Amino acid sequence: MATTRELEGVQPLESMIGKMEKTILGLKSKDVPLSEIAFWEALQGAYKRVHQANLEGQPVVMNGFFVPQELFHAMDIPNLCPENHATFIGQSSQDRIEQLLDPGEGYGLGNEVCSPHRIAVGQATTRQMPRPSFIVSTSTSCDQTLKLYEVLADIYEVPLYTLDSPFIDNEAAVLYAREDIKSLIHFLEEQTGRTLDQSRLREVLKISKATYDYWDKISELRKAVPAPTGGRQSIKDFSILLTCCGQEEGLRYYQARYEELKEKVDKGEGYIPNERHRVAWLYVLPMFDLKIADWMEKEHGAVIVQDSFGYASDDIVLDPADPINYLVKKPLKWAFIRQTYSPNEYSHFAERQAKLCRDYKADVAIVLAHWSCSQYCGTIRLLKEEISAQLGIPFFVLDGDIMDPRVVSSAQMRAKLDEFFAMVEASR
Amino acid sequence: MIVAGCDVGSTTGKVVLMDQDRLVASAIVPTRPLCEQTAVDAFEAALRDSGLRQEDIDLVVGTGYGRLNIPFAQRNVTEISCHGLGAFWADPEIRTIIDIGGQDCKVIRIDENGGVLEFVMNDKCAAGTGRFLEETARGLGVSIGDLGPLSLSARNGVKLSSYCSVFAETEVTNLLADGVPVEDIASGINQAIATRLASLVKRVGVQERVVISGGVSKNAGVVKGIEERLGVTLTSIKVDPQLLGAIGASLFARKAAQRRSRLSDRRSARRWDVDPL
Amino acid sequence: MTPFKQALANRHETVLKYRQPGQKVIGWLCSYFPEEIAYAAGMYPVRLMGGSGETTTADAYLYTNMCSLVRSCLEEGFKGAYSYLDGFVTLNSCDHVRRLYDVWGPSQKTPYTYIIPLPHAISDASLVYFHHEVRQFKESLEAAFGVTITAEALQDAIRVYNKTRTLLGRLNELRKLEEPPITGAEFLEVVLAATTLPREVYNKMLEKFVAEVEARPGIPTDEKVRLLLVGSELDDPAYVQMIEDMGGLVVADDLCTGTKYFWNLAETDGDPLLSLAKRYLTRPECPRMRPARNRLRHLRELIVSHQADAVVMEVIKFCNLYGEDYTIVRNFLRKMDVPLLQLSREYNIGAVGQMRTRVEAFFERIWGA
Repeated sequence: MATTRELEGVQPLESMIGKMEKTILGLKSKDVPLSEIAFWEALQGAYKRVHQANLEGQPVVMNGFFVPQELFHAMDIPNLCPENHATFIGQSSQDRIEQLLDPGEGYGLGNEVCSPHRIAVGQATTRQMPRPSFIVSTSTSCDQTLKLYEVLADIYEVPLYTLDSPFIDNEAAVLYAREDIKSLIHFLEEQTGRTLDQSRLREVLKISKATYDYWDKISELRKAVPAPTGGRQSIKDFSILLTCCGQEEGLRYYQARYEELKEKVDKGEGYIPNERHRVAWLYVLPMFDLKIADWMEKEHGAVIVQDSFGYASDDIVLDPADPINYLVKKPLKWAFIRQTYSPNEYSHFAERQAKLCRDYKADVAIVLAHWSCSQYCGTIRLLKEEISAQLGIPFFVLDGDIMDPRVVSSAQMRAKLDEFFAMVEASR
Repeated sequence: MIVAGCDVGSTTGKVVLMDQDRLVASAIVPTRPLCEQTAVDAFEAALRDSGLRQEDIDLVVGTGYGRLNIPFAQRNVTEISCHGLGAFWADPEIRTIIDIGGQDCKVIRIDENGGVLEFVMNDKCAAGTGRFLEETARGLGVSIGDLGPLSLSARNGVKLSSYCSVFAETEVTNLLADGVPVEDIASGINQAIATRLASLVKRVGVQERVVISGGVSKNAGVVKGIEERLGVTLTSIKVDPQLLGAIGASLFARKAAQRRSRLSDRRSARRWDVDPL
Repeated sequence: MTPFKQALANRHETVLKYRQPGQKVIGWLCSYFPEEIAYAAGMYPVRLMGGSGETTTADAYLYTNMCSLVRSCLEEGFKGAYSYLDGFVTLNSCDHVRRLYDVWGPSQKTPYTYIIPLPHAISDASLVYFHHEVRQFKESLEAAFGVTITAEALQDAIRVYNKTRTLLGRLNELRKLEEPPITGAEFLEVVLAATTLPREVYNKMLEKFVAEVEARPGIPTDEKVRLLLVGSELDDPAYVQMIEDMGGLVVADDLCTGTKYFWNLAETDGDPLLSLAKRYLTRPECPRMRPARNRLRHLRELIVSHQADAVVMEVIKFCNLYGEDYTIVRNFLRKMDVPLLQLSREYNIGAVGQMRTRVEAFFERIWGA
């Protein structure tokens, strides 16, 4: 690959890795929790692997969120998730967000397309990411995700494998999903000329399972009163699970995180000194302004006790003894993803979100109605009805976009939240 | 690319030949009993005039009262659109066209591209049309062509009490018998038609520049009467106003011929063997 | 007014008029729906469409960033226009239809609702799976309404529906001519009527109509731009008319309400449910399906066989599947040197000035003006 095409994304990744190095050194010189350093090391590790493979002309895969990345780790194929990458760069570029969004729109995506997707496409057309050898995606979590990877495969002119995520939980669907994973393995072997070593896969799954076990435990710990962690930290958990689940560095992060939280919970220590509101944040924080979580904590004593992406489904038990089954069931651990499934799952989704509020003793629920996410916004009415019926807690819909501050600005969001919390306080 | 426009009206048939924007030849012929004959006469006259043959003409568009009966026309467009476009070609500043034909009269307002914005037509009665002049001129014992010059030397223009040509003819005969000077009556006739036309124009609103077309436009008395009632000065144009319909038709023909030719080039250059997969 | 236009102009009345006493009406959305199953059960399948006007109630249940088609359908539900439905069935074709389904159940009074899982891939494995889900649906319908759907009834249904497909196929062939005897607007109207009238009634009308059209003089296209029309669900012939009024003729389409609806026949031998699963799974694909190669190959085939000069892609605002398919189709057509125009629209035709100008400007480029 390196011989026939010019290398792409070399400089941007080099620069990112360098910045992360500085961050890590800076953190090491201070007294910070181990998980902070572990987080950056894990992320940097993932980028280093991609960067190295790119330079050497070795295969690199681009993948979607819910792809079984354990297969890549077992076959030594460094992976880059463009959606995650897009949110990562977008987070630190609120002031020049047009520069990131414009190329994608200029390419032909409308402004109703999910903002991280527009950024990802823009990164691809301006050659800011290492060129993938092939792309692996899933049909979940939404139509936009389904199409994004098709668009990327079209831009890069590389093969694409889309896992057909099951819509319903029955035997035939599981069988079909199993065949699909086997087909994917065959695809990976064909593309790379490598063979998937079963013992290697088992090792990777062991690490993956250990990581998920920590996630389950962390999920439990977060139910404590006062809450041991806040919304911003939660984003880190999510990001690691998506990028390096099955890698040692990912496990190290989760272990450190778990131990820190356990210590706090054992001591009865809260993340913030004066917890006045326990917020169930249904959806994800505005990625262009993660500091809004800090601001809520400071201004209103409102801590995000759990969010849709951090909530693990406790009814899904992953068993690495059957690797294919493990990989089929893995995405279902995300309670969030279940809302893309069939109707029985849907009503469970609303129930599950209500259960989230109950389990975490949330006294308010806030939904970020992400402008580009039609399918999630379509659940809001019934979510509200379910939560009101079951718990009667205040339910607030915050309009905005997760990546584009031009839709609703930080100032406007904060003003709306001020109003909401004032109303909640007044009614107490 | 040479195209033609053919306008078959109730009193005359007109054909123009155009090469791009340029008028190459034109012909105006009196109507014959059948529209087809009128059209053919006009076409042959224009061809003779230019030295071209029918095969040299790429496309013909027909218009006017007899537009559906022009055997050599491939398309037809309403006289409203054709008059509008034709007037625009003659002078792009024109925004209002008053067309006074033998059997009908119409007022057309066009936009800055020659497209029709509004129009009003009177084709139900003779008032405001050449027929009115024809019949009143007959009552007066003069030819239509004399009405204009006569009226200019009127001392005391008569005011006719009726626009309706049926009554007006009788009224004119009576006035003549009463010894009213011919010039004064001629003036009255012209004023009557001008008043009728001015009312019609006001229904769509007048916007300058204004042009008159149709045979009656050659009557200076009527022209002056309209100018006075509308408070505008009518624009004069470089071509015979009678040809405006045919000119507009040939401009439509040019557009159609260009489209046809361009599509044909595209289609023959098409390479269906390209398979991007 | 043709009988097709009449049927569509008063859709609900049409259904109520033709519904037999005791016959169940099944509303469906998405042309991947295996209609023959409902027909074989003696039921009256009717395509769900929206209405005109604001969607204020529906917006509060769905959200303003959902496509206007589903919001309009839901609004019709709230207005009571669909009170005659005994069932509402769809598939997980797209996010918007899925949400409509999720909300329809709790908010409307339709006694029976079902969503059939549709795979995204087209393969031997996905056919096995889809066959299973088709069978599940059939059994669910039987259980819910206390009917038995025999293999014979299914075979008969397949024959009846294949007849429609053959006739519409014949009509579509005429559009390949240099002078097609039917406009795109009229063609769409004829196909849409199939999803509103009872099938036997429709087949009779259609047979007569196709013979009439075959005898008609053609519409010259030496001056008109011959178009392939693709894009989101479109059930408004007036929209197609507007495009054609600007100087084009839609000689081909890849619409789910157009040729996708009748393109391929169902096999008449073997297990009818498998035959149906196969027919529906392998029909010309929606942009949700993989691999995309088949879909692009089909577009190319349509352009070549119908001698299209250009492609128009209309996309309902917020329609993700078609909206994000645009760049893929554009890149493909560029390689073929075929011009493409993308038009954004709402389910209900609103301000037309801008759309007309865009179409006109597009044609003028092709005419070299």
